[in-house]
Amino acid sequence: MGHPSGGTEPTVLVVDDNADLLALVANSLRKLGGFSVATATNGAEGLQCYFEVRPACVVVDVKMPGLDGYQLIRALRGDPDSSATPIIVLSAMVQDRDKLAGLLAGADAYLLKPISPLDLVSAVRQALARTETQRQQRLRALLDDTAESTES
Amino acid sequence: MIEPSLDLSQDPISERAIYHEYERKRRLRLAGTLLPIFAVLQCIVVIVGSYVTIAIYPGAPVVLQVNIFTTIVMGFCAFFYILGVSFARRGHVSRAVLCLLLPMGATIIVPPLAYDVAYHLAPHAASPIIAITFSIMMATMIFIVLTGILTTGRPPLIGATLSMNILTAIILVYIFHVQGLGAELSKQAVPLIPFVLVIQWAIAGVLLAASGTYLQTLRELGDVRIAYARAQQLDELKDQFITHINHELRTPVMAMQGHVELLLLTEDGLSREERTAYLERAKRAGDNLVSLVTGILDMRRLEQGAEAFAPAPVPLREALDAATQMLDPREMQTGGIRDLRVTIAPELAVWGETVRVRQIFTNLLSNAIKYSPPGTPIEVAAHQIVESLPGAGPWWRDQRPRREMVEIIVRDYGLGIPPAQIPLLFKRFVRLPRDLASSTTGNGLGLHLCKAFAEDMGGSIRVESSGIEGEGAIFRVLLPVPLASLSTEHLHDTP
Repeated sequence: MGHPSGGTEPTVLVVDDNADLLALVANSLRKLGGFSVATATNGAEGLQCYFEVRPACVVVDVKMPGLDGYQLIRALRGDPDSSATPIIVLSAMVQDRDKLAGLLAGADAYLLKPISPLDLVSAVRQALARTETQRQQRLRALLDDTAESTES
Repeated sequence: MIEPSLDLSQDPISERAIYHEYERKRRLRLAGTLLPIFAVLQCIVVIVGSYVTIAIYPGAPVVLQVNIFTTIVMGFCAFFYILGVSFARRGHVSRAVLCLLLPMGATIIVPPLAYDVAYHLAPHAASPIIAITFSIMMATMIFIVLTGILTTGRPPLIGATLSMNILTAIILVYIFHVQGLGAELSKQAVPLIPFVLVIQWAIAGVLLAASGTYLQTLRELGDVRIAYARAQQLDELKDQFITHINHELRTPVMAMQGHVELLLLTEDGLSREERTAYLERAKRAGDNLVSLVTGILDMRRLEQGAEAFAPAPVPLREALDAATQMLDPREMQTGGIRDLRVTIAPELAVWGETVRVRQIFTNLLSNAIKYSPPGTPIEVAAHQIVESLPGAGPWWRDQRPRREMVEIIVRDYGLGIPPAQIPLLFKRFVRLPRDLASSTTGNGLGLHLCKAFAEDMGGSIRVESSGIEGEGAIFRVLLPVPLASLSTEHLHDTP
């Protein structure tokens, strides 16, 4: 588990069991986005880390040992202290039903691997910039789109 | 990674099971339909019969007694019909069929019995002997037809026809001795009895012929269904494969591409160590990609049988040395410094192909390192044995065919494998549930390829493990000995 260096920049928590990818996402957010980054290698560690560092945004992988990405999102959404934090899923699962599952679990965005570091940073910035109302509206629109493409 | 339960590639479809299932469902549907029909028909026959007999013989006490008797029999039949419907609903086809045939048989016997009762009660009373005889003859035909369409195989139909023959003969002979019309009928006994029996056998013959053609059609339908099921399985497997590969490729592609891009974007602000770290991570991701693609291509070639090889003696020590050099250095780091205990005679060789033997060693050692804790030893041994093949000859004379093989043993002292999960180990893209829930990397191809390579070279692979942590696992690979080494002096025996 990696904690951010104390600074004024927003902290992003990155949770991924793949060490290389964890390093890539963390370095991208640090170097390109100027964020402070905390890291965890599984859902349980991510949950613990969240309440220790109180990040402004969470980037989470889906398939992880123990508590997986969806379970982590549901746990965060279920707690009033963390329910409003933007959560971005970064996954290699490409099917519409996977995306729908992620959004239904409570994610604000579902990003597909591979994604460029710049796009990732941009997605995190956008998530942080949204107000709660915008977040809810966008989530509803995303869910509708995904549900439609899943049905078709 | 594919869950074990989704792996359909090894599940054979049993043609026999499909035919049986078809046949079972057909009989079940038929019994389910016929049972209520026969119940209603029998009620009608009894009610109408009672009404007619009372109308024809008003006030005769014997008629009342006969009707009571037939009503009791009807109750017995109704009980079986209801029971039969219940069996049919629960899918017990044989019991449902029995519950249809049993009251049907009873129905055939009831008229002569009723007649017998009536005759003994009032020997001189007039009786509907022609109606009774006619109904019995018809009922025997129906019984034969029912047996033919509701049972499987020839014996029940032949048995039912013979029984009906005997019953018919007994009843006709009995009726001929009845005073009045019976005596008149007996004059025509010679054409009457054989004619009825021939009709019964004609019906049985038609049913036997129909059943033969029906079975043929059933087999053809079954073949179509099997082909369809196999095509569906293939489609499902293909989808799983594409989904799996898609998922497995995306992570290393992102790691490789992302690190290179990050390096390009932030090069000026990076220290030398950071640049090296980015490049190393990108290279590792590239190596993972190469390993995955190579594994998939190896598997594909093996499945297509396209990779023919010219067998040659492969010295095991050399293959092992090459394999240890090929091992992923990260795995060695993860596992810490390992004590590799090798017990292989320098001259020992197998009959196969160098790259495949080396790959088997690489995959087994890689697994041993991954699934055992740092500091524990890994043992590799090999020796020549005689393998007894399953084959002809009684066990007490032990004349089973034998062949000389080299047994390669790779042992670790790690987590071991739960015995119940051992059958899953060698299936492609399948990882144990424990590994899926851990951060141990793997693509589920290594052991599948070991098995495919070993079998391709005329050998085999198996694993022994108690599943107890610390006792680890023992992989035993059998490969043929080179032709020149056959019949050497010191051979271990193996069952």
